[in-house]
Amino acid sequence: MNQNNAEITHLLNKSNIDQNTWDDILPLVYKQLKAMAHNIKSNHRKDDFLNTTSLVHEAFIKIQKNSKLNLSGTKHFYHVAALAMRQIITDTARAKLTAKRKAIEHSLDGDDVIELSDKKSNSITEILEIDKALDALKEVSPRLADIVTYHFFAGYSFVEVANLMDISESTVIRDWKKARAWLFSSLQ
Amino acid sequence: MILKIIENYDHVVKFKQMNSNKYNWKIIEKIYEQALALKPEDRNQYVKKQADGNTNIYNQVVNMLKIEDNDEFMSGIPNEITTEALNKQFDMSRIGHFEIITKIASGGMGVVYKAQSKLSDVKTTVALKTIRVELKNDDLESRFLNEKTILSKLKHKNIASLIDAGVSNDGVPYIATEWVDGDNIMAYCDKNKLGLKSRLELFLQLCSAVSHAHNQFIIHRDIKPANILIDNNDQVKLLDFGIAKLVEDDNLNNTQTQIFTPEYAAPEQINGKPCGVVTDVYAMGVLLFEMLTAEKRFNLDNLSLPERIQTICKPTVINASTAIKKSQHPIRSNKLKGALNIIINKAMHVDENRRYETIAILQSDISRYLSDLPITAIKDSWFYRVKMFLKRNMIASILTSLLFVSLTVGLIYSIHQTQLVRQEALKSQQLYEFYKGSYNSAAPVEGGDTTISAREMFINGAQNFDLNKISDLYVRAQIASDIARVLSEFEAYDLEKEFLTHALDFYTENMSHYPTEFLHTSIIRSVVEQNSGNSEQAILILSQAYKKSLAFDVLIQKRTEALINLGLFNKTLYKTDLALDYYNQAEVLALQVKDYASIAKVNYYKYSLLVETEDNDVLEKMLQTAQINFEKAYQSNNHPDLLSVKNSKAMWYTTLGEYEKANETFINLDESYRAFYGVLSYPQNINHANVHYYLGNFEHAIKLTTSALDRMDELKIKPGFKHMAAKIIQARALTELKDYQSAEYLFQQAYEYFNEILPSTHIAMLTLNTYRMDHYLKSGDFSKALELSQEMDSLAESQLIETASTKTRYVNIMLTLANLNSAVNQHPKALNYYLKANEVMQSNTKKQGWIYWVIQAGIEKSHYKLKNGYNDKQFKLATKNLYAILHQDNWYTQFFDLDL
Repeated sequence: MNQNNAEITHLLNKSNIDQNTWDDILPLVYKQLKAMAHNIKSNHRKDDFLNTTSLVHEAFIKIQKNSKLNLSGTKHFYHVAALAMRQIITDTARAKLTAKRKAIEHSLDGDDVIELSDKKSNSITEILEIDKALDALKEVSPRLADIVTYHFFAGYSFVEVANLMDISESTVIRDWKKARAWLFSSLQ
Repeated sequence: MILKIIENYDHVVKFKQMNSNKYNWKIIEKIYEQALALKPEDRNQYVKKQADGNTNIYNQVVNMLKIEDNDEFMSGIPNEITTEALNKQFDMSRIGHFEIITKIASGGMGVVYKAQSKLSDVKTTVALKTIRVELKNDDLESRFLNEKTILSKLKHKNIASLIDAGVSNDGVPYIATEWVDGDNIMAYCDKNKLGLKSRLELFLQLCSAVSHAHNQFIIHRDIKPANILIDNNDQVKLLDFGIAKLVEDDNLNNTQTQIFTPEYAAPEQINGKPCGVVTDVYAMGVLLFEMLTAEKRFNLDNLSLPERIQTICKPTVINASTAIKKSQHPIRSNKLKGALNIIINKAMHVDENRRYETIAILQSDISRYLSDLPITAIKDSWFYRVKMFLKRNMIASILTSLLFVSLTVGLIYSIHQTQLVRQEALKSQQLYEFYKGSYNSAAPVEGGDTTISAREMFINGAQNFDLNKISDLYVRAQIASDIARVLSEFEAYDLEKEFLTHALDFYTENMSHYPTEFLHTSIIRSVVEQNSGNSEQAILILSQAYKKSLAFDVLIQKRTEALINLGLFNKTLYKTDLALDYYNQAEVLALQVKDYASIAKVNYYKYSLLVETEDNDVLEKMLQTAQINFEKAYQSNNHPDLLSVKNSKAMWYTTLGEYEKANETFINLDESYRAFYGVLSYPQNINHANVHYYLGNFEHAIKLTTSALDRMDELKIKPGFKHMAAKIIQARALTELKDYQSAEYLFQQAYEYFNEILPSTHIAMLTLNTYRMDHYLKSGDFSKALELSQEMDSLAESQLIETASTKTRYVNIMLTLANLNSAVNQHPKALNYYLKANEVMQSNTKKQGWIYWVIQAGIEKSHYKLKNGYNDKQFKLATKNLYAILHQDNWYTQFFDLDL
């Protein structure tokens, strides 16, 4: 078992996982995910589509193989992995937006302006806004916020989210709708 | 990085209409759920009624309900972003500043790409190797940078050079090396149907590459055909030096990580034991087997792990000559019988101790074979027995390696100069005789050699060795100086002198042919005198020899060495002006040939010579020059004696009071010694112990001095300054640990020894008395301390200040006097001494170890006692730091534990 995994396992197996522990685990899992993605990508053709869920699962299997994660450890892992994925996606969206703004600043004709206001750019902005609003939602209802992180950012299915949170699938679906409505309202 | 971003979330932009009040949310949630159950057209009305005039609640619920008309919102992250996120975060088109051209291979360690540097306009093609991140731990980046510095020093025509190494922004570690186009060595041999001679010549190229790296203390650890390419100019290029070590996980032994390739891994590697030079020797043996037979030495394909381990570690000998299977193989099996079988089997011997000690010796045996000379491997059993004997006697394999290497150096470069080769062969023949004679006289019966020490064995052997039977006079002189070198290791000076005289007689007669050898031997001869305490005689011998040598074409580095030694000898006699003059001459010569190590050493010596008399600016400049040149010497890859450079650097840091750095350098030096020679050097242990003392690591200091003293006992070295230095450091450390009785005993021994050979005004005597005084003060024997101090007070005030050759020594004396005066409530005097100590220490450097804080605390304590300008904050800082460094039960804890 390598040190990174050992450290993750150690942290995940702590009986009381508080905010500080999460802060310690997140960078480790993030690193792990990157490593996984790196290796997965290098063994795939470039145009292969690699989705976020398969990435997280792959990372999990790697870690699990080397450690004896118990059930609660497993859940912690998926939780942390989802946070990491949210981070990765918003980072990229932000970088992409900045890049576009820069491109416009440097461009003399107006083509890029049109591009910024197109649908895709809207979606990028939207992701960033959702990300911000999600923090506010967490204040209001941590459970709803978790569901959004799991389903929206990490791409876990409703069944997976239900297992992860020990609630029924129908509750997850109902809460998902509610969370989505709340976020929608925040962005108005 | 992530934590930083998370922090940013704390400054979340405030959203309009957003209300994070949990109480409100409960109401909103309820209204929303109920409204949702209604028909769309009735909802607004219902919400208005329930909100009861609260516009926040009303607006939020209404806005939430609007989502029902919007299927698109959050229907998934656009494909563009996820793909982009993954591509960007895990960008595989670029790593660091390299652009990937194509993937070459993917293996246990990571993936190899052909890539191009985008840093400069000239596009350099490289082989880029990424390392699996999972293997790594957190200090990855610093470790990579560290290795990068080491590996970038490897410049050899047969080693693919390192271009860059680091960690990309995505956290992917990579190593970029020179791109080599060509087949691997096995494929190349096969394709070109090379004969025996050509294959061996390729192998020799490879040997010189590995040997070069070993001289820089870099072990390959993964030598195998896949790592050896032959480029378009038919040059061998060895890849991936040091990478196996880089990716090795510190927490694991090798069996679990399996970075090496099992077919070429030595048993010690398989067993997770430390790797050394002989690990590479083993792999080279396997490689040679395969190159000559075109067959695999081990077939591990269908074996389980335990079976593999057994196959590699069990001592079965397969002769290469019997392994050739292919009928069209260009080498006939009877060619491999005899010498080559022996060479291969010795190189890949299961027992590390029975392999070739170095690649250079393996290389020389191949060369010998090619020149039809007898190979050394045949003497296997002899070497083995002598070597095991030396090991049992705890003698430095330093010594053995030194000699074993000396058998072969020179031969390799002069393989075509028949006369030289003959002389070398004769020389090694005679050295065997010397060994054999020494060993036989010591251990006539097999196994009966346990009672005699190596020192006795070699002295005996040297006494019985008949130089006159060597007819070739040049070889005779060389043998004489080699044996002298062995004897100097045991401080057997009289006998050493005899042998040196033999050598010198010959070189003096043949000055025009061997002027460098002449000067070299003269230096050794003069050092014997210096070490025996006859500095005048040493100066006489060396200055005459130096003058004589001026008429001839002598290697400049030797001249520099002679001048530096003359400076050192004169310094011992306090002839400062003369010493300085020699140092300056040496510096001029060293500058001429860019001999950085000597420039650094000279400046370091000049610094210690002038430390009491020169201006700070001048001293500072010397230190800087020393620093810069030490670095250069360190980095230049062809300095013949890296260990001595490292050693001087460590000593230099010690003088400076940079104890942390000195400690690091010593540790690094220890590693080099251990990796190469298997043992540590005892003089170095003593110097290292001194550093530990100033760092407050008293237990370490005691441990190191004890092991140094044990070693000297084992070597039966008669008590001398080195013994005393070790005892004094140990005694001082014992005093700090409050073992006053043991300390007293050691101090007494040192005092008696010094008293016999030194005048009472000698600097070493004064220093020793300072330490004794400190000891008496701390052990509570005030009367003895005061007695000593009265004797020293006047000395310290007058001549001591001028002659204390380093600041550290001066500070120690002042500090002891200060502590003593403080303890007997002579506070004005105490303050005076503390301030003097402080002044010199401040002019030195910033890092000072615990002594610095003692002085600071002492000054404030005196101020307090004298009721003038006491600074409580400064005192608290000083005592706090002091207690942090020292043992909590230390004497100073009570001394400064005042109710101020």
